[in-house]
Amino acid sequence: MFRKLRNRIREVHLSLRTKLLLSFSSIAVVLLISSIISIMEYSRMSSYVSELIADDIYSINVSQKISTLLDGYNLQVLTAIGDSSVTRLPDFDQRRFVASCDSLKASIAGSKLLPLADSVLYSYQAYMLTSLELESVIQSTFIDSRSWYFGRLQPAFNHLRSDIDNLNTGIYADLQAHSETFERGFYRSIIPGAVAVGVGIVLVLLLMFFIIAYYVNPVYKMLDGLDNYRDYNRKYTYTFEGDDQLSSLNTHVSELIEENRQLRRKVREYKESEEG
Amino acid sequence: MNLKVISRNIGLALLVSALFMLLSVIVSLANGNDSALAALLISFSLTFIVGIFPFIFVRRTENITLTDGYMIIVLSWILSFVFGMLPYALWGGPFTLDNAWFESVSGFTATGASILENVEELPKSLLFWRASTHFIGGLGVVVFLLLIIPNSSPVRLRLTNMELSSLSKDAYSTRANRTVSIFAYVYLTIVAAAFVAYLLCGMSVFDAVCHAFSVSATGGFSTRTASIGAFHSIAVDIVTMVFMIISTSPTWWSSS
Repeated sequence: MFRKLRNRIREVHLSLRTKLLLSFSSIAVVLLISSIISIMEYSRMSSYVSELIADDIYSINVSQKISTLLDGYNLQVLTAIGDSSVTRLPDFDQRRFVASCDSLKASIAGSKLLPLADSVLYSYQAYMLTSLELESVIQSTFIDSRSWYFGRLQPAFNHLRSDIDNLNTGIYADLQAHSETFERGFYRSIIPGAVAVGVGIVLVLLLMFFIIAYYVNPVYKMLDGLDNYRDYNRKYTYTFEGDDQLSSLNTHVSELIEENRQLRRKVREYKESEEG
Repeated sequence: MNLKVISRNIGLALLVSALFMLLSVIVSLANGNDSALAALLISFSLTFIVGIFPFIFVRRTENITLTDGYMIIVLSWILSFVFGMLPYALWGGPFTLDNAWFESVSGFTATGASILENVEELPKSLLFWRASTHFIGGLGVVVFLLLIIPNSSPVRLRLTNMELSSLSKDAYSTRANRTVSIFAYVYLTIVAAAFVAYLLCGMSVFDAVCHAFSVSATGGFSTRTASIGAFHSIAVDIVTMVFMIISTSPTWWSSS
């Protein structure tokens, strides 16, 4: 059965039109594949990495907001201690701070930055616990507020700032890593499309070779043969391998020329006999 | 040098690779569309189109010169390496372009060296393709001889200083053809026997097929990082040793 199928396939002769249609369609399919691949790969990669980078940028913004809040509050505490005319104790927007911390933790959830975010929260709790002593320190007559500030609150604040800075450093490192991933991913994402385009170019070159070898060169040689017959009465002997309309055309041209030669010979013989 | 004939026969070699890529696609579908499905489909499409392209124009020819034959062999191997790396490169993971090229060449040449630190991270379809490159590579020499020797004009063939007369050309072609066919059947029989032997040792069908491909080509690709050692089976070790020796036997016969 396999041999019958193989023999049947061998007997199939494609016409000139079919060959050209098939070959150009193959190239079109390859180019279509390459464009689909390129679009799919790039959008898949860019959406994945863009999400990561967007999370990093959001984390940086939130971290900066937290720093600004804390710096502002700490300055107010310092002012309250240093300036005796200040009667109102500074107020810290704890709800906003905790909400910012929670959203920061949510945006870096699952990454190795989570312990750093937890450190910030613990440091913040320690700082706030210490800062709650402010009222009693100011009201007290035997506690030096400046000593309390520089001895207790400032170290807690420094520790908190240090943790926030570590978190920022981690987020920036993450951002850099994701940017490098994006860059690597970009080149990798264009490889499939580039490969398909390369294959398309190879097919175009192959097609050009086949068209020249099977159609252009034979047409030139047929023309040469016809010119040689017309100008020098040389026999038309050109043949080429092929199974489509062009080889049929060559066969018919050859037959017509042979017919023409015989007719010419007959006419010449008739004229010679008439003259004789 | 007949470029038309060369391109047709190279196309035939690429179609063999495309066939095994298609089988890998089937493996992927059978495993619930694993992560290599898209890569294998794209690779199959491109390899098939490039392989079938020359067939549109070039008819089967009975006449291949020795020069054409050498060009066919060399270019077929090189292009098989190039298209063989497509599934790896398109899948990604640890396969950069150079890693994919290395794995492809190692597979087709039945070398067995690998860049992978963890073989099990590859999806099954890609593992099947990896093993198939060993099979194709092992069979490749025989296939090329089958392609070229029957179609070569023995008048043009020169063996050392011996020239074949027209009286003996048919006999030579037939004998050569038969010898190469025997090699092919022996190779396929070894693969089948190794497959059955591995199954009897308790391997899964998938592992048995992949290791049969690998051992018959005397390659080294396995579906496990620890290779044969991962199965912790004396029987598997013995089967592997036996078939590695058997697989080298066609080389002994041909050299004798």
